[in-house]
Amino acid sequence: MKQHSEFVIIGGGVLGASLAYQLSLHGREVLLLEQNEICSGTSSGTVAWIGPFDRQPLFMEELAIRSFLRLFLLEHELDRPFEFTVTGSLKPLYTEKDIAAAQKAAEMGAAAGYDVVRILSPEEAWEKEPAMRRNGMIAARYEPYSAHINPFLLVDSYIQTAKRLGAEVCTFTKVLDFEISDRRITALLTDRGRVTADHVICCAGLWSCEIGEKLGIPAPVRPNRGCCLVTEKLPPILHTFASSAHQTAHGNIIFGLNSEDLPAGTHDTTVPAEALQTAVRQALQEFPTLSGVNIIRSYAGLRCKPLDGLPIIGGNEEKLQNFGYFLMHSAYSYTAGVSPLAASYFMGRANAEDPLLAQFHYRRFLYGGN
Amino acid sequence: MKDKDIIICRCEEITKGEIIQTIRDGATTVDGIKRMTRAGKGLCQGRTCRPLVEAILIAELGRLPPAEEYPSPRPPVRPMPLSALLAGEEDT
Repeated sequence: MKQHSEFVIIGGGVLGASLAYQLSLHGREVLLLEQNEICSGTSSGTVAWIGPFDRQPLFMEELAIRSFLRLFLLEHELDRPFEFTVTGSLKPLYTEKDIAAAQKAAEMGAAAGYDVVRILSPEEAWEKEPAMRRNGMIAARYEPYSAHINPFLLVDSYIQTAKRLGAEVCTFTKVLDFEISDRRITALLTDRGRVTADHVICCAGLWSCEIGEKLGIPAPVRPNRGCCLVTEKLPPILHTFASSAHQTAHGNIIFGLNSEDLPAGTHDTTVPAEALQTAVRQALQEFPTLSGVNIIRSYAGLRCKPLDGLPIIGGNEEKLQNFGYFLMHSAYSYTAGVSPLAASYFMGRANAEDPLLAQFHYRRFLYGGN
Repeated sequence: MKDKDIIICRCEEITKGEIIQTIRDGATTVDGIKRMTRAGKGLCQGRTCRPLVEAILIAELGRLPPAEEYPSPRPPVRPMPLSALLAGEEDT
């Protein structure tokens, strides 16, 4: 591990990796420190659904669309492919209220310039997804642009490309403490040695809480657990992101279910029996024809949820000038669009008037928030 | 047949060459190799290939890999139909 780096990034998930890539692309010196393997935290416990629509408020919808489009460019920019597959998504609607909400979401997309969401009749929906439950569905919301990726390959591709551009990446390197002087972090103390830095960016997801405690700059994120079920490989059955399920390029169907808020400090990704049963019940409700399909594995993912749901860029610069966070949830849907903005900000090159920065900057938590 | 073409993970058909490349790219644990190559993600969930992947890892690194906790088992312990995971509920 080098003894000094201009930028030190803590955390090797999708946010840290994409930021390392962006900074390296601009010729900056980057050292990324990851306590485990690349992509082993929240970034690994995901279905990696890229959903460019149905986001609120409107600026988040526009950002999701921008991120989605940037993935096409990244397929060419990055050194390795990541199984980027556009499938569309289909969501069953059971009540008139559901339909009204879907119409409203469709209008939101249209306002952003993308008139792509359609409300389908049940028959049209079953033509697209014959495996979806028949009774009860009165309509379905469909759009053709949702996509999925292989999350590990995307993060790895960011990392390998960043390394080619000069970044150093150290796995199994845990940040234990900091040296601070004159409102600046001067050095990080890790279990593999000491490194000095000009700028420190924490992309450590839920572990940011522990980092924040050491620095007196609390990380405003909390864990929320989802549960995923993985089936054996199957011939093509699902063609879209159909509610909670999709079929990967390798043939496995993955269900992504549940959303349980957990206390801060939880890093437990085991699947409790109740959570598993809740997930299975919902999967069976939506796809009764899949009841005989074998499940080979389940896994939990701990979402890193900012308290107000929006991405977090920056820190408390009055307290520490050269430290900031880069955190968000639904990262796979937004990182491609947000990481260039975050990199600009940390390089001191962002437009101070940027409206997204105003929404995302950490200082909103200092003044009482929204 | 070249050494690198030997299939290590039979369920996902992952070769020795792919595993070695992943280690050279930076993976230093069996789980890290699993995430990047899919070795161990198949029907047997690594029961067959894990010792083989471990052996390749030790040979490539020239040392034991960093101490990693054996990942906690996730249900189900063997492939089971979706409906069977709820079977217990019918009894109550």
